[in-house]
Amino acid sequence: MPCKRRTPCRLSLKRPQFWAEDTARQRESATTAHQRNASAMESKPEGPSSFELLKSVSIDRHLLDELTARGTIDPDLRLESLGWLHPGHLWARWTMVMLMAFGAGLVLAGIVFFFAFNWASIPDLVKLGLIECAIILTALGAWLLPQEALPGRLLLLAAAVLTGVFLAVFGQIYQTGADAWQFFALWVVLITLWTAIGRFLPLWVLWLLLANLSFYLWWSDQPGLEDDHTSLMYLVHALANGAVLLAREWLLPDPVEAEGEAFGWLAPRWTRWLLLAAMLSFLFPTLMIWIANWETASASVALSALVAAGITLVLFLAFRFWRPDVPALAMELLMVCILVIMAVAIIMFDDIFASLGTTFFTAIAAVACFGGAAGYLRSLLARGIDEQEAGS
Amino acid sequence: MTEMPNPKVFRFLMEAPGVLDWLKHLRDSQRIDAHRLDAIARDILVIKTSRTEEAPVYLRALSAIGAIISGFLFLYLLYLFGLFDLSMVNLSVNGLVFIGLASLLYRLGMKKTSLSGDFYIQLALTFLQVGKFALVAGLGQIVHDIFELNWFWTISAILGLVMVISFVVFPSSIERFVAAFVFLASLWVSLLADSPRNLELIGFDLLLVAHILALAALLRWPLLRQSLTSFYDALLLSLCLAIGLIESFVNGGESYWGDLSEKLQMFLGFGYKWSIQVTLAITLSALILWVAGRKGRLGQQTEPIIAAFVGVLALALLSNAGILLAMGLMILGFATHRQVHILLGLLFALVFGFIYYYMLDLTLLQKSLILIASGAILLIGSGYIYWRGWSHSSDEDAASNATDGPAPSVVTRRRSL
Repeated sequence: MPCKRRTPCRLSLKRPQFWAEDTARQRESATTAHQRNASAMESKPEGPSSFELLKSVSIDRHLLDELTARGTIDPDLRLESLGWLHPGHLWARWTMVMLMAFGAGLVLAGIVFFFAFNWASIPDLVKLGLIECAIILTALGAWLLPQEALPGRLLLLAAAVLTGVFLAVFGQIYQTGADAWQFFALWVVLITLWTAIGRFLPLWVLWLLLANLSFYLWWSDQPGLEDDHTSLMYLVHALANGAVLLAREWLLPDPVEAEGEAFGWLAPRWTRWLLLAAMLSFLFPTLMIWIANWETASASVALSALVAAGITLVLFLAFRFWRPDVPALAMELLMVCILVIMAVAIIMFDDIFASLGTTFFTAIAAVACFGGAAGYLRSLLARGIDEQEAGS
Repeated sequence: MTEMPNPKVFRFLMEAPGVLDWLKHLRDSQRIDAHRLDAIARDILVIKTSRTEEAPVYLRALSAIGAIISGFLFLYLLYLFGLFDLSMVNLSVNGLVFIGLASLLYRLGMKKTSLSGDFYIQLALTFLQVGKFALVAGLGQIVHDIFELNWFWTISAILGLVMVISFVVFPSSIERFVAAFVFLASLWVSLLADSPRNLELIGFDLLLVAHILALAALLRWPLLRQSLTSFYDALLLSLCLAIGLIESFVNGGESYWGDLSEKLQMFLGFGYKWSIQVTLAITLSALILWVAGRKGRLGQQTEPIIAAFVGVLALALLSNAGILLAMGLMILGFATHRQVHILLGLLFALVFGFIYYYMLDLTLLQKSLILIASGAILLIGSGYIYWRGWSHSSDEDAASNATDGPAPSVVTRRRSL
């Protein structure tokens, strides 16, 4: 949806200085203009110059085509610029990376298939030995390669995955009788140290997934913790993921200039969004269970919902004031809007109206909620509260 | 202390460089004088300020989710009010009224600077969904009754009309994209579900070629592409849908064509596979030429282009249509700096790569050997590029890259890693 009004169209907010000076500018000598451009491009701007305004604009094929169509640049310059935009060696590098990634994937898949085919005929000891060898080799490779090199980190990830494979095969051969949650929990324990020292985000994502899964399976296995305690289980999940989110924010004091810091590897904002999405996906059912049974809900369900509402509020305040992040707020508001609409529909249908009235007021509530949320977020963007915006 | 990893390490694959980098390159290369440089900068600002900037995608998605929810609720409300008991003409007129009202509210909302503007926009999106539904339901019945057309093609034609209306009266890219994609998807579905079987192959081919030609036209004429970006994106997604459908169709051919003669089955299977793959291989080759065949550069790049053509030929002969499309999407995404297209291509490559090997009529052992061999070939290809030094660029490229490449810092860091 276009956002002419309060959106971050910063280009349109300030009139470029040089437009006002057009006539005087034309009289300037080429040398002076050249010097001005050079100084502006070496980022020593004082006040809003055209070059400062251009900082956030990127050049691509579309823009070059449009400049050519307007006659601003000639076709030769366009062609040369296209060559600059995508030099031959970048194309080759891109192709090389793709071939390498797909090639490695296919070879690994082939090896897995090979063992899968011969699995039944391989002696148990050899099966375990092969996997152990693979773990040792990958871990050794990760240790020998430079700490920050991507291949080393990928090897560490492979070692972590193979650990799970080893546990599965071990369980299959010896029929340990262990519960599913014990398998995942042991996997988590075994790869924790690698995860901590690896500083590799995919490894952390794997670790978190396994931790959540083992906890979920453990809870499901407990006879006394079913049905009425589902809300509590979701809440505990949300809190656990929240703790990780808090740690991420704590360890990264300045997300805008994280590069070079000890925990700079945590800087990509998707890590925050992923953790927040995990939290919200557990807070949502906690609140929804209470809304759907608000008249008959037990104390445990009501209390869980109350705490979940409190956490939602804390998250909102955190991403509004402490770590301003509009996309994170958008995720939260989406959840809140859906909950409000569901609450309106359930309460009205149960106690106040029949289908017609309930549908009408729920539709109005939907328009009001989503319209209000979009308007609020748009106003935040226009005020530049987003940390990314502030940092750019 | 060891250098920290650069999170932007692979962004050279995707991101467009800044305008300032380009202007600096032009200045340093001394191809143009300072006045012209100033004029270019001014024109870029004019272009950017004159263009209606859209809200970030997550904000548009939030509004769209809200519109879908409230749209369904309003439709149900109108159903309870008996709107759908009205005559077909009344239903169609009501649909048009809702669409008109939505357009007015949207424009009004865009002009407002207060929160009320957002409510107008949300209401407009809601009414638009309602209006479209009523129009399709009403007009569909009228056209079906008058012209005695099949339902599928009737609905497709009306969805085409809805798309045109969206482009004319509703200046929202996400809305236009959805309208265009639904129309294009309905064409494939109609072709699959409601056409004589002996015409399906020709129909698929023609529609595929029409999609490709439309995309080529949009790439050829940039101003057209700019005003029809939503349509361009919808065409690409529709192509993905079609190839996905065709692949499933060919793979599930035996059960689908069970009632046809064996001869015809063989022809259809053969025809589908090869006509689609040959079309896509030619398109991929043309795309590579379009990207690489810039004036003055084609001659320098003969060997890489021949290597690329050999790769396309191998893919056309050995792989499936999905993988060919995936390559095309990734190249196009890289050439136009559209990350979504690169990711879509990557997803397609993974899914159809998996399907390809899964559907091979071989034992697990034979499959494993083929997987290892094909992986080794790709790795050899990667090594060949490295060995030939193409990835390091020629001396000229290296010199220019060291000083003013599109993302020198990224390139430098990549090397340092």
